Amino acid sequence: MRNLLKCCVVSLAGALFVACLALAQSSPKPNFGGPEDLKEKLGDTGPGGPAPRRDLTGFWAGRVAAKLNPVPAMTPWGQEQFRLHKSNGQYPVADSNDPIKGCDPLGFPRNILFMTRGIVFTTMPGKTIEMSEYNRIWREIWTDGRELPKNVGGRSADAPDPRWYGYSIGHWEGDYTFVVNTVGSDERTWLDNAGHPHSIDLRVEERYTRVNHNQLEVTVKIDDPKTYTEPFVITKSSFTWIPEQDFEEELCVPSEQAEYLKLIADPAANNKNGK
Amino acid sequence: MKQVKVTKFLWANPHTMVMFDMKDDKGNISHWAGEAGSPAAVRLLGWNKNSLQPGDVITVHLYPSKFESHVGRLDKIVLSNGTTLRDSPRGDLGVLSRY
Repeated sequence: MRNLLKCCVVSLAGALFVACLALAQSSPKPNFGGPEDLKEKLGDTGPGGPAPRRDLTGFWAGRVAAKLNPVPAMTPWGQEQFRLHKSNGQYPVADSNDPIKGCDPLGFPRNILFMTRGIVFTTMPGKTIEMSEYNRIWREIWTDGRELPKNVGGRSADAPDPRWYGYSIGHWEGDYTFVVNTVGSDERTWLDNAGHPHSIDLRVEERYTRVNHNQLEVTVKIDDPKTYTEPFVITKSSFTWIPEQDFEEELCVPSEQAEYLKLIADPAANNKNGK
Repeated sequence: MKQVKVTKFLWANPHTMVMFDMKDDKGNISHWAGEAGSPAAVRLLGWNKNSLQPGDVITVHLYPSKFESHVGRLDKIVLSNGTTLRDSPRGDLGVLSRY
Protein backbone atom coordinates (compact mmCIF):
# COMPACT_ATOMS: atom_id res chain seq x y z
CA MET A 1 0.00 0.00 0.00
CA ARG A 2 2.85 2.33 0.93
CA ASN A 3 4.58 1.65 -2.42
CA LEU A 4 1.34 2.39 -4.19
CA LEU A 5 1.05 5.67 -2.32
CA LYS A 6 4.66 6.55 -3.15
CA CYS A 7 3.86 5.91 -6.76
CA CYS A 8 0.79 8.13 -6.44
CA VAL A 9 2.82 10.83 -4.68
CA VAL A 10 5.49 10.87 -7.36
CA SER A 11 3.10 10.84 -10.26
CA LEU A 12 0.59 13.27 -8.73
CA ALA A 13 3.29 15.59 -7.41
CA GLY A 14 4.73 15.66 -10.88
CA ALA A 15 1.36 16.34 -12.41
CA LEU A 16 0.64 19.04 -9.86
CA PHE A 17 4.06 20.64 -10.46
CA VAL A 18 3.42 20.74 -14.18
CA ALA A 19 -0.04 22.13 -13.53
CA CYS A 20 1.43 24.86 -11.31
CA LEU A 21 3.94 25.82 -13.98
CA ALA A 22 1.18 25.97 -16.51
CA LEU A 23 -0.86 28.25 -14.27
CA ALA A 24 2.11 30.52 -13.65
CA GLN A 25 2.40 30.95 -17.40
CA SER A 26 -1.19 32.22 -17.55
CA SER A 27 -2.78 29.14 -19.10
CA PRO A 28 -6.55 28.91 -19.05
CA LYS A 29 -7.57 28.06 -15.54
CA PRO A 30 -8.46 24.45 -14.78
CA ASN A 31 -12.19 23.83 -14.63
CA PHE A 32 -13.07 21.91 -11.53
CA GLY A 33 -16.75 22.09 -12.35
CA GLY A 34 -17.72 24.89 -10.01
CA PRO A 35 -17.54 28.65 -9.61
CA GLU A 36 -14.40 30.13 -8.13
CA ASP A 37 -16.24 33.03 -6.60
CA LEU A 38 -19.66 34.66 -6.47
CA LYS A 39 -18.88 36.86 -9.45
CA GLU A 40 -18.34 33.79 -11.57
CA LYS A 41 -21.46 32.18 -10.15
CA LEU A 42 -23.56 35.25 -10.98
CA GLY A 43 -22.30 35.22 -14.55
CA ASP A 44 -23.73 37.78 -16.91
CA THR A 45 -26.51 39.51 -15.00
CA GLY A 46 -27.09 42.02 -17.74
CA PRO A 47 -26.97 45.80 -17.31
CA GLY A 48 -29.83 45.96 -14.81
CA GLY A 49 -30.67 49.42 -16.05
CA PRO A 50 -28.62 52.58 -16.44
CA ALA A 51 -25.96 53.59 -13.96
CA PRO A 52 -27.20 56.04 -11.35
CA ARG A 53 -25.29 59.29 -11.39
CA ARG A 54 -22.38 59.66 -8.97
CA ASP A 55 -23.38 56.60 -7.01
CA LEU A 56 -21.37 53.45 -6.31
CA THR A 57 -23.42 52.56 -3.25
CA GLY A 58 -23.96 48.85 -2.70
CA PHE A 59 -22.42 45.40 -2.50
CA TRP A 60 -20.28 44.21 -5.40
CA ALA A 61 -18.87 40.78 -6.25
CA GLY A 62 -15.39 40.50 -7.69
CA ARG A 63 -12.97 37.77 -8.62
CA VAL A 64 -11.10 36.21 -5.72
CA ALA A 65 -8.01 37.78 -7.32
CA ALA A 66 -7.64 40.33 -10.09
CA LYS A 67 -5.71 39.44 -13.21
CA LEU A 68 -2.51 41.39 -12.87
CA ASN A 69 -0.30 42.88 -15.53
CA PRO A 70 3.44 42.28 -15.34
CA VAL A 71 5.30 44.85 -13.28
CA PRO A 72 7.94 46.97 -15.04
CA ALA A 73 11.61 46.79 -14.28
CA MET A 74 12.41 47.46 -10.65
CA THR A 75 15.01 49.80 -9.26
CA PRO A 76 17.94 48.29 -7.32
CA TRP A 77 16.05 49.03 -4.10
CA GLY A 78 12.96 47.33 -5.42
CA GLN A 79 14.94 44.30 -6.58
CA GLU A 80 16.51 43.90 -3.15
CA GLN A 81 13.12 44.04 -1.42
CA PHE A 82 11.71 41.54 -3.88
CA ARG A 83 14.61 39.19 -3.24
CA LEU A 84 13.75 39.13 0.44
CA HIS A 85 10.10 38.28 -0.12
CA LYS A 86 9.34 34.55 -0.15
CA SER A 87 5.95 34.16 -1.74
CA ASN A 88 3.55 31.25 -1.38
CA GLY A 89 3.78 30.71 -5.09
CA GLN A 90 7.51 30.00 -4.98
CA TYR A 91 7.91 28.44 -1.54
CA PRO A 92 5.86 26.02 0.51
CA VAL A 93 3.54 27.90 2.81
CA ALA A 94 5.62 26.81 5.78
CA ASP A 95 8.70 28.52 4.33
CA SER A 96 6.97 31.64 3.02
CA ASN A 97 7.34 35.00 4.75
CA ASP A 98 4.22 36.45 3.16
CA PRO A 99 2.90 38.74 5.90
CA ILE A 100 -0.65 37.53 5.43
CA LYS A 101 0.49 34.07 6.48
CA GLY A 102 0.21 35.27 10.06
CA CYS A 103 -3.00 37.21 9.38
CA ASP A 104 -1.18 40.53 9.03
CA PRO A 105 -3.37 42.99 7.08
CA LEU A 106 -3.33 42.68 3.32
CA GLY A 107 -2.90 46.41 3.25
CA PHE A 108 -3.47 48.71 0.31
CA PRO A 109 -3.34 48.28 -2.64
CA ARG A 110 -3.06 44.49 -2.26
CA ASN A 111 -6.57 44.37 -0.79
CA ILE A 112 -8.02 45.69 -4.05
CA LEU A 113 -6.00 43.17 -6.05
CA PHE A 114 -6.51 40.00 -3.99
CA MET A 115 -9.29 38.57 -1.85
CA THR A 116 -11.66 40.86 -3.68
CA ARG A 117 -14.69 38.61 -3.58
CA GLY A 118 -16.74 41.44 -2.17
CA ILE A 119 -16.51 45.20 -1.80
CA VAL A 120 -19.08 47.70 -0.57
CA PHE A 121 -19.38 51.42 -1.08
CA THR A 122 -21.35 53.78 1.07
CA THR A 123 -21.20 57.48 1.63
CA MET A 124 -21.44 59.90 4.50
CA PRO A 125 -20.86 63.64 4.57
CA GLY A 126 -17.41 64.45 3.27
CA LYS A 127 -16.30 60.89 2.61
CA THR A 128 -16.96 57.66 0.83
CA ILE A 129 -16.35 54.42 2.68
CA GLU A 130 -15.09 51.37 0.80
CA MET A 131 -15.43 48.15 2.73
CA SER A 132 -13.97 44.76 1.91
CA GLU A 133 -15.53 41.36 2.55
CA TYR A 134 -12.13 39.96 3.42
CA ASN A 135 -11.42 40.77 7.03
CA ARG A 136 -14.26 43.30 7.04
CA ILE A 137 -11.97 46.28 6.79
CA TRP A 138 -12.85 49.71 5.52
CA ARG A 139 -11.06 52.59 3.89
CA GLU A 140 -12.05 56.22 4.26
CA ILE A 141 -11.93 58.13 0.99
CA TRP A 142 -12.24 61.83 1.76
CA THR A 143 -14.31 63.81 -0.73
CA ASP A 144 -14.30 67.13 1.09
CA GLY A 145 -11.59 68.63 -1.09
CA ARG A 146 -8.69 68.08 1.25
CA GLU A 147 -5.25 67.26 -0.11
CA LEU A 148 -3.34 64.08 0.46
CA PRO A 149 -0.97 64.25 3.43
CA LYS A 150 2.66 64.96 2.72
CA ASN A 151 5.77 63.48 4.23
CA VAL A 152 4.04 60.32 5.42
CA GLY A 153 6.54 58.27 7.37
CA GLY A 154 8.93 61.17 7.69
CA ARG A 155 10.98 61.91 10.77
CA SER A 156 9.53 65.29 11.65
CA ALA A 157 7.13 65.47 14.54
CA ASP A 158 4.20 66.36 12.30
CA ALA A 159 4.83 63.59 9.76
CA PRO A 160 1.82 61.27 9.54
CA ASP A 161 2.42 57.62 10.27
CA PRO A 162 2.21 55.09 7.47
CA ARG A 163 -1.03 53.15 7.45
CA TRP A 164 -1.74 49.62 6.36
CA TYR A 165 -4.46 51.03 4.09
CA GLY A 166 -2.95 54.44 3.36
CA TYR A 167 -4.62 57.81 3.16
CA SER A 168 -7.17 58.36 0.40
CA ILE A 169 -9.03 61.18 -1.28
CA GLY A 170 -11.58 60.91 -4.04
CA HIS A 171 -13.51 62.93 -6.61
CA TRP A 172 -15.87 62.36 -9.50
CA GLU A 173 -14.84 62.75 -13.11
CA GLY A 174 -18.13 63.26 -14.87
CA ASP A 175 -21.06 61.38 -13.37
CA TYR A 176 -19.85 57.78 -13.60
CA THR A 177 -16.16 57.60 -12.74
CA PHE A 178 -14.96 57.94 -9.16
CA VAL A 179 -11.23 58.57 -8.92
CA VAL A 180 -9.36 57.70 -5.74
CA ASN A 181 -5.78 58.68 -4.95
CA THR A 182 -3.88 57.09 -2.09
CA VAL A 183 -0.51 57.61 -0.43
CA GLY A 184 1.13 56.48 2.76
CA SER A 185 0.79 52.68 2.52
CA ASP A 186 2.95 50.83 5.01
CA GLU A 187 6.01 49.30 3.33
CA ARG A 188 5.52 46.05 5.23
CA THR A 189 2.65 45.17 2.91
CA TRP A 190 3.31 43.50 -0.40
CA LEU A 191 2.01 44.84 -3.67
CA ASP A 192 0.81 41.42 -4.77
CA ASN A 193 0.95 37.67 -4.07
CA ALA A 194 4.23 37.35 -5.96
CA GLY A 195 5.89 39.47 -3.31
CA HIS A 196 6.50 42.53 -5.43
CA PRO A 197 7.32 45.33 -3.03
CA HIS A 198 6.33 48.93 -2.72
CA SER A 199 7.81 51.86 -0.87
CA ILE A 200 6.27 54.53 1.32
CA ASP A 201 6.48 56.77 -1.74
CA LEU A 202 3.85 54.69 -3.51
CA ARG A 203 0.97 56.61 -5.06
CA VAL A 204 -2.03 54.67 -6.29
CA GLU A 205 -4.84 55.86 -8.50
CA GLU A 206 -8.04 53.81 -8.67
CA ARG A 207 -10.70 54.63 -11.23
CA TYR A 208 -14.12 53.13 -10.55
CA THR A 209 -16.43 53.46 -13.52
CA ARG A 210 -20.03 52.40 -13.15
CA VAL A 211 -20.85 51.19 -16.63
CA ASN A 212 -24.49 50.42 -15.85
CA HIS A 213 -26.46 49.48 -12.75
CA ASN A 214 -24.84 46.02 -12.47
CA GLN A 215 -21.28 46.53 -13.66
CA LEU A 216 -18.38 48.36 -12.08
CA GLU A 217 -15.02 48.53 -13.82
CA VAL A 218 -11.86 49.33 -11.92
CA THR A 219 -8.43 50.40 -13.07
CA VAL A 220 -5.54 50.51 -10.61
CA LYS A 221 -2.43 52.47 -11.49
CA ILE A 222 0.83 52.23 -9.56
CA ASP A 223 3.34 55.04 -9.34
CA ASP A 224 6.33 54.27 -7.13
CA PRO A 225 9.60 55.63 -8.56
CA LYS A 226 11.60 54.31 -5.61
CA THR A 227 10.58 50.75 -6.52
CA TYR A 228 9.60 50.71 -10.21
CA THR A 229 11.23 52.44 -13.15
CA GLU A 230 7.91 53.67 -14.52
CA PRO A 231 4.27 53.99 -13.53
CA PHE A 232 2.03 51.18 -14.69
CA VAL A 233 -1.53 49.93 -14.66
CA ILE A 234 -1.46 46.79 -12.57
CA THR A 235 -4.99 45.69 -13.32
CA LYS A 236 -8.28 46.39 -15.00
CA SER A 237 -10.92 44.39 -13.24
CA SER A 238 -14.67 44.38 -12.86
CA PHE A 239 -17.28 43.87 -10.19
CA THR A 240 -20.87 42.72 -10.46
CA TRP A 241 -23.82 43.96 -8.44
CA ILE A 242 -24.83 41.35 -5.86
CA PRO A 243 -28.60 40.84 -6.07
CA GLU A 244 -28.96 39.97 -2.38
CA GLN A 245 -26.81 42.95 -1.36
CA ASP A 246 -24.98 40.86 1.20
CA PHE A 247 -21.82 38.83 1.33
CA GLU A 248 -19.89 36.35 3.41
CA GLU A 249 -17.99 36.89 6.57
CA GLU A 250 -14.45 36.08 5.51
CA LEU A 251 -11.83 36.56 8.19
CA CYS A 252 -8.21 35.58 8.65
CA VAL A 253 -8.35 34.17 12.15
CA PRO A 254 -4.93 33.78 13.80
CA SER A 255 -5.90 30.64 15.71
CA GLU A 256 -7.30 28.98 12.59
CA GLN A 257 -4.26 30.02 10.63
CA ALA A 258 -1.98 28.54 13.30
CA GLU A 259 -3.91 25.27 13.18
CA TYR A 260 -3.63 25.16 9.41
CA LEU A 261 0.13 25.65 9.60
CA LYS A 262 0.46 22.93 12.24
CA LEU A 263 -1.83 20.37 10.60
CA ILE A 264 -1.19 20.92 6.91
CA ALA A 265 1.47 23.41 5.89
CA ASP A 266 4.36 22.37 8.13
CA PRO A 267 3.95 18.62 7.53
CA ALA A 268 3.52 19.20 3.80
CA ALA A 269 6.85 20.97 3.76
CA ASN A 270 8.40 18.30 5.94
CA ASN A 271 8.89 20.99 8.51
CA LYS A 272 7.78 19.25 11.68
CA ASN A 273 10.08 21.21 13.94
CA GLY A 274 8.43 24.53 13.27
CA LYS A 275 11.44 26.02 11.46
CA MET B 1 -9.18 6.31 -0.12
CA LYS B 2 -12.36 4.45 0.61
CA GLN B 3 -14.18 3.97 3.89
CA VAL B 4 -12.11 6.44 5.86
CA LYS B 5 -13.48 7.88 9.06
CA VAL B 6 -13.65 11.59 9.72
CA THR B 7 -12.05 12.61 13.00
CA LYS B 8 -12.29 16.37 12.65
CA PHE B 9 -13.67 18.92 10.22
CA LEU B 10 -12.43 22.50 10.41
CA TRP B 11 -14.49 25.16 8.65
CA ALA B 12 -11.73 27.74 8.65
CA ASN B 13 -9.66 30.22 6.74
CA PRO B 14 -7.49 30.00 4.75
CA HIS B 15 -8.53 26.39 4.15
CA THR B 16 -11.21 24.02 5.25
CA MET B 17 -9.56 20.92 6.63
CA VAL B 18 -10.68 17.34 6.97
CA MET B 19 -8.86 15.03 9.36
CA PHE B 20 -9.54 11.35 8.89
CA ASP B 21 -8.28 7.91 9.81
CA MET B 22 -7.55 5.29 7.21
CA LYS B 23 -7.26 1.60 8.04
CA ASP B 24 -5.12 -0.60 5.84
CA ASP B 25 -5.61 -4.27 5.00
CA LYS B 26 -3.80 -5.28 8.17
CA GLY B 27 -5.89 -3.07 10.39
CA ASN B 28 -3.22 -0.45 10.91
CA ILE B 29 -4.64 3.04 11.23
CA SER B 30 -2.97 6.09 9.74
CA HIS B 31 -4.01 9.66 10.48
CA TRP B 32 -4.45 12.01 7.55
CA ALA B 33 -5.26 15.67 6.95
CA GLY B 34 -6.57 17.15 3.75
CA GLU B 35 -7.14 20.77 2.85
CA ALA B 36 -9.66 22.31 0.48
CA GLY B 37 -10.51 25.87 -0.42
CA SER B 38 -11.67 28.54 1.98
CA PRO B 39 -15.26 28.50 3.25
CA ALA B 40 -16.08 31.38 0.92
CA ALA B 41 -14.94 29.27 -2.00
CA VAL B 42 -16.26 25.80 -1.19
CA ARG B 43 -19.62 27.06 0.03
CA LEU B 44 -20.38 27.77 -3.63
CA LEU B 45 -19.86 24.06 -4.26
CA GLY B 46 -22.28 22.83 -1.64
CA TRP B 47 -20.12 22.63 1.46
CA ASN B 48 -21.13 24.17 4.77
CA LYS B 49 -19.90 24.17 8.34
CA ASN B 50 -21.78 20.95 9.09
CA SER B 51 -21.00 19.01 5.92
CA LEU B 52 -18.90 16.58 7.91
CA GLN B 53 -19.06 15.32 11.47
CA PRO B 54 -16.59 13.18 13.40
CA GLY B 55 -17.43 9.56 12.74
CA ASP B 56 -18.68 10.07 9.19
CA VAL B 57 -17.42 7.40 6.81
CA ILE B 58 -16.42 8.92 3.49
CA THR B 59 -14.32 8.36 0.39
CA VAL B 60 -11.47 10.79 -0.10
CA HIS B 61 -9.71 11.69 -3.34
CA LEU B 62 -6.55 13.57 -2.45
CA TYR B 63 -3.25 14.78 -3.87
CA PRO B 64 -0.68 13.82 -1.22
CA SER B 65 2.26 15.98 -0.27
CA LYS B 66 5.49 14.92 -1.87
CA PHE B 67 6.76 14.09 1.61
CA GLU B 68 5.28 11.13 3.42
CA SER B 69 3.50 13.36 5.87
CA HIS B 70 -0.07 12.08 5.46
CA VAL B 71 -1.31 15.47 4.32
CA GLY B 72 -2.51 16.69 0.99
CA ARG B 73 -4.89 18.73 -1.10
CA LEU B 74 -8.39 17.33 -1.49
CA ASP B 75 -9.77 16.79 -4.95
CA LYS B 76 -13.17 15.67 -3.73
CA ILE B 77 -14.89 13.68 -1.04
CA VAL B 78 -17.88 11.38 -1.40
CA LEU B 79 -20.28 11.13 1.49
CA SER B 80 -21.99 7.93 2.54
CA ASN B 81 -25.20 9.14 0.88
CA GLY B 82 -23.38 9.49 -2.45
CA THR B 83 -23.06 13.29 -2.36
CA THR B 84 -19.82 14.53 -3.89
CA LEU B 85 -18.16 17.62 -2.50
CA ARG B 86 -15.43 19.01 -4.70
CA ASP B 87 -12.56 21.29 -3.86
CA SER B 88 -12.76 24.84 -5.18
CA PRO B 89 -11.03 25.73 -8.43
CA ARG B 90 -7.46 26.86 -8.12
CA GLY B 91 -7.30 28.89 -11.23
CA ASP B 92 -5.24 31.84 -12.21
CA LEU B 93 -5.04 34.02 -9.11
CA GLY B 94 -3.00 36.73 -10.74
CA VAL B 95 0.08 35.04 -9.39
CA LEU B 96 -0.29 31.57 -8.01
CA SER B 97 -1.34 31.58 -4.40
CA ARG B 98 -2.25 28.90 -1.96
CA TYR B 99 -5.32 30.88 -0.98
